[in-house]
Amino acid sequence: MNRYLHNIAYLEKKFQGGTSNFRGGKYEQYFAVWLVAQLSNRFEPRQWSEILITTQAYEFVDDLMVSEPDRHSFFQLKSGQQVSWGKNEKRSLFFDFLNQVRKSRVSMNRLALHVVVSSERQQKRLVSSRPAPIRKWTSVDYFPNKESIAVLVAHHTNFKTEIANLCALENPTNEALVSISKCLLGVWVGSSQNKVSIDELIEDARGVIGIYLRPRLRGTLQAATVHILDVIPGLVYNSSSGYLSWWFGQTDAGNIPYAIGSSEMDAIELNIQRLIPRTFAELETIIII
Amino acid sequence: MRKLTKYALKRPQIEVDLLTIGARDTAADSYRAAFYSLGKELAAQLRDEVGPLGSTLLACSSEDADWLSRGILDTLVQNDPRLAVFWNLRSSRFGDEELAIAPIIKSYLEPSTECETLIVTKSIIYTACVVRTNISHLIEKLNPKHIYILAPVMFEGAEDRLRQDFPEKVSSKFTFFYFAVDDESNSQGEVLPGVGGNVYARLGLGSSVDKMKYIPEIVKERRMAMST
Repeated sequence: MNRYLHNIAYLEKKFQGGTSNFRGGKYEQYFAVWLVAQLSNRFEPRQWSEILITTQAYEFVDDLMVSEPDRHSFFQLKSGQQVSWGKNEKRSLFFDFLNQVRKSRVSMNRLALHVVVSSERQQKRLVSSRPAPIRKWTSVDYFPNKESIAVLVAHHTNFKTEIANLCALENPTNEALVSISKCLLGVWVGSSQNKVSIDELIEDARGVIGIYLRPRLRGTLQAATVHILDVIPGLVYNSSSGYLSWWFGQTDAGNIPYAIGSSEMDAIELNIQRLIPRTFAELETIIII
Repeated sequence: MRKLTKYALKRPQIEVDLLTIGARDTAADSYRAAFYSLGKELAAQLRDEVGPLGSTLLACSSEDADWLSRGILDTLVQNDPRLAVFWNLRSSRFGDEELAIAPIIKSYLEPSTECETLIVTKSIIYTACVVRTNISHLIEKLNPKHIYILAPVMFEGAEDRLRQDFPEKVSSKFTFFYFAVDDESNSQGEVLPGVGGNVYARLGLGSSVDKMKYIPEIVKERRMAMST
């Protein structure tokens, strides 16, 4: 009998307890958003359907599990102040990580274990004290514990960067990044959280208007639209992001919240071509949704 | 249960205006006039309690520009505040108000080299989502010493919710001016009595989609004045 099976009753209890604990935890949820953003950026959209995330899996290291084609990653999140590896007693990190290694014996080359902590000091301490039997597979990650998504975007550069990489706009404002982060959080919390693919999450988030997620395909404005926009005095526009961003004079700016090539944007372009605005005043009520 | 502030209790006109916007059967013209009057009262309180404001920017959502904000601008005319207007596309798709977003689809922002005082106004602050978005957008471009948040009506707890969405170095600049605090809301997410339902519908601007196409007269006037 495999050694980890001796601990099956413990695993049952951990699974039951964890399922009820997870959904309410902001720290875990914000980390999941960061993870979704990182995975979306690391992989091509065509691969997103193969990247699956699960919470409270029937595992020893169970807060989050990510299945990629060539890797299985397990995350244990610890937002408290006092975190240690322990000495292989039940409920200790060392015990859970060691048993996860044993449980994953058929795919050890593809195994990655992570403990995530909310202070960089703790991170350093846990890295230097990683027990030898699990060291090969284990890393210690830092993710700050912040009271809101907005504060997280403002303070955590790595979080902000990952979300910004999902955004189509050039130099997006923090406000735009908060909107994307909240949408990812919303779709994540609303999902089954069981083997949910990155593809499902991102496509679900695209349903929220005004968050400017990078489109899968970058569309181009129709030539007839370009001819009309080009001769409107004072109007400057850019469509290289896949969305139409515009500026007028020193005061006005905006983005049409539909990706170029979408049916909604096609309808706006059709309206521009039908009404042929000659001034910004004539254009502005057409391009605002 | 509504609680009026001490300042509002001393000025009967404020109470009448609050009743006017809270009533469900007020005609659009009276509703607009009440907001203009409340804007003047909020600005008067700000001016009386704070004193000189220095270089000032007044920021609002498009539906609040022509009445609430105009009342504020007309009262602070000696300060000659600049104006910022945002068209926010509010979404509560996930049900949870903490996840509500109000991305800015269009903005009108009068240029200036400095901003000592930022005034942000809103007809009612409930989830604080729109106000948070607009402040967040502006403080990336400006570094005001003071941020005054003016609203005729606040929902209980909105002040704390707004503060927690900003780092302490920003939220410590906040001072709130309001006349009433309500603590009830209905299943449609409307504060009771609040502003008597959906503010853009009550102002005569139509639905949440229609109001996005509304270009405030004050924007047209000021844009025209800047171009001449």
